[in-house]
Amino acid sequence: MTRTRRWTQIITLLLFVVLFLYTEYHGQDILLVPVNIFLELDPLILLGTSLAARAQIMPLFGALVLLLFTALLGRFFCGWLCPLGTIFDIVSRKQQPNNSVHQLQKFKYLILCFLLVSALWGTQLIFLFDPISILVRSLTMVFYPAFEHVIRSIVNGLYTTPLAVVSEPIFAAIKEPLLSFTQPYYRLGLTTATCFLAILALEKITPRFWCRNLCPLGALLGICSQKGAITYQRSAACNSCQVCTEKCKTGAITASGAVDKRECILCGNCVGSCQLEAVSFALAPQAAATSIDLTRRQLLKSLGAAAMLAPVIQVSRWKEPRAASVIRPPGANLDDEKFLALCTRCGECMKVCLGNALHPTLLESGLTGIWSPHLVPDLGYCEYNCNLCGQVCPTGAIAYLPLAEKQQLLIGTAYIDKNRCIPYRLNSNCIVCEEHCPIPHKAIQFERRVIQTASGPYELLLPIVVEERCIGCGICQTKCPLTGSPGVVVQKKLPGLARTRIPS
Amino acid sequence: MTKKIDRRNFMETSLKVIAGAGLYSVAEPLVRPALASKRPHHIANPAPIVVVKNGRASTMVRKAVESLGGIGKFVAKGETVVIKPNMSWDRAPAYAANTNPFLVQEMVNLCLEAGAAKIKIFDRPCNDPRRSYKNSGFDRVFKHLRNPRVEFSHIDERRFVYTKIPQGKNLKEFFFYKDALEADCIINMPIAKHHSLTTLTLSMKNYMGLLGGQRAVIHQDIDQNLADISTLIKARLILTDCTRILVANGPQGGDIKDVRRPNTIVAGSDPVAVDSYCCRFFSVSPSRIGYLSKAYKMGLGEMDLSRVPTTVLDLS
Repeated sequence: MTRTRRWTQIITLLLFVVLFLYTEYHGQDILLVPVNIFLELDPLILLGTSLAARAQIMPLFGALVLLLFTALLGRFFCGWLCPLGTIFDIVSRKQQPNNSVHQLQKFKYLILCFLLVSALWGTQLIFLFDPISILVRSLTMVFYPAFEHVIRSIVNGLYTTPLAVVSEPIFAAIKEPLLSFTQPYYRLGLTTATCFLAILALEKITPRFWCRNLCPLGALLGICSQKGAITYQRSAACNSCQVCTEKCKTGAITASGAVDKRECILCGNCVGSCQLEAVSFALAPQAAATSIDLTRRQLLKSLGAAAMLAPVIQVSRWKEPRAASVIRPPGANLDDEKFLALCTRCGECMKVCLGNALHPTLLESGLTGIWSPHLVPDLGYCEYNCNLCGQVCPTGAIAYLPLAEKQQLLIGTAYIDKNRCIPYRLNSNCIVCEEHCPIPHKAIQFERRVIQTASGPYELLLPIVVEERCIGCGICQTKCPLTGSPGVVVQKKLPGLARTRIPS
Repeated sequence: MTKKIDRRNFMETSLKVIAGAGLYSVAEPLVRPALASKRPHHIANPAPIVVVKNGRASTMVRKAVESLGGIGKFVAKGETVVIKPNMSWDRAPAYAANTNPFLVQEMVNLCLEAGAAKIKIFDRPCNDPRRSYKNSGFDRVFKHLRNPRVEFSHIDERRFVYTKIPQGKNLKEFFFYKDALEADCIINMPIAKHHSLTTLTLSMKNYMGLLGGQRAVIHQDIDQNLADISTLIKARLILTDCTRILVANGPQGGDIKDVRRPNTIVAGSDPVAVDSYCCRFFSVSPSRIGYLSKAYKMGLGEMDLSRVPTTVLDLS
């Protein structure tokens, strides 16, 4: 059983990684592979985001299936499928569980409770603790770019040496399936790495520390699996040696041989460890034992704390007048609070973004907006013919818009900084912004002015933005040849603000 | 013998000088164009150009090259050939933003027939390179071509080299793609399009796809810079795609109404002559294209089309 479980875990993890690698443009306008399936199966995301945004999220209804199976079978997801759990198992495969402490196990329920109450108040904080979001986000923003950086620095280091004869063909072969088109990089990489490594470091205390004590998804699945059909059983052959109790990854087995079904992740360590083959899993509904002393009082306290703290966090947002100035991906809910309520910060949009143009915010969109995607035109622009971010978003925070609709959608607007722009400042033509403008009839036009120079009259083309045409894709800012602050800047355009016309 | 300077003498001479100067100042503007046209920018033996129209893409390419003396005149056996089309924009072929891939396909066939050892096709696009290669139709034609002699690839940023332009007047050095610098033969295959800064983008501007770094800085004093680039990068054969042309909102367009279909290709080895000929599809005088005038002045080619042997083949 342990072997079957391990293989299932490894295959699932590989599937997860492959889907992650496929979250990239490979010449198909529509991604045919359901790259975000793990996120869509996550019932915590379903519950948290739909509560916070008061929305029904259709694609996530797969998560209900997972809940149903959990109710029937138990917390098999944590033990068998969860990619983060598998990573924990790999990291601490040699380590013995420390089952002396049980007091911490209730924390995950309190965290779940806190997150759901916050969501009820409109503050979606699920992203802080959802394991799948954490994993995808960490891979996207740090570990995958870092992996790629290592490969590329080795290959580039060898490029000018005779060894390039070997390294270049290998590079060419692995580039398409394994690496990005260009080296990705993200703001907030270090922050994200620190958070992930902290979770990983907890494995030092006991294997699956996160899953036992902190994971709100585990808590949610645990609550559902109380009446699960698969139950740990000791047969008459048992001599109460307690090996299974000690070996249990999640400390779910009490000394007396009862099992807490909310904690049991069906990993089968107990079955594997029993010398007498006295332990087995049976299809027998058994009354759930409780190893966790989660009292009603504590639960109420947590509810109360959440009910108090969530609004405190909410009102301590950076509510500056310019707080909503970050440019969201096209299709993002125009109401930024609603967008943040739906966004689970998985980073899929940033992974798939063609020009590496989407980056996570730190505090630009408020304290609770951390890790949410925004367009940074200085680093990249929104490709006119691309709507991949809307395709990979698991919660619909970025709606999937048909291309024709996306090309009309206003996400920002450009303005010329006349103090910086070359033709205005240096009386020399440039027009780079205009030639890159993807709008068929150009959102950047010229005011033509003939000036006298030493070598005769010179027609100056001064760029002006036609705001009624500009959609804010940001390519003008990305391509502006100025070093330092660009001559054309794209800013968020607030919805409802009438588009101004240029005097004609 | 010294002439005595007396009052009469002095006044006579002064008046003569003043009258002479006055006469010259009146006459000079009238005479200047005549003088200018005689200024020897003309090149000695302008290379012929050929214009082929109203045929299938592949036939037109074949006929054009045949008319210029056959592919063997441009590509020798065992040579490395770089074909530089324009596949710079994420636009479908119908929008006339990129070179017609079928023209390039036939050129590749011709080069293979000539025995080229390696044929490289690449561009450094303005939009996402993957999307540009795909949407321009080049992926479909070349990506699955399993011929080891044909290399259809994306730009490798490591291969740009900072290169001196010895004859450059304004642009003295820049990043150039190594493969283009090292190639035995460059075949330039641009598409004729509108461009708001240079009026038209033709073969000489197509070389911008070989530049690395922050190439947008070329745009300041672009006319001289393009002429300077043409002193370094010299194509043996230029074949300009005028099957579809973009007459407004270039260089990437996006509105089918801005596309015209002369269904013509213009080929030759003189960049200035080929480009000058293409101007007529836009009803623009070549002298209005700054970089053509500059290149003409630098002796890079012939702008006076009356001096260029031109063959016109109508296949209809």
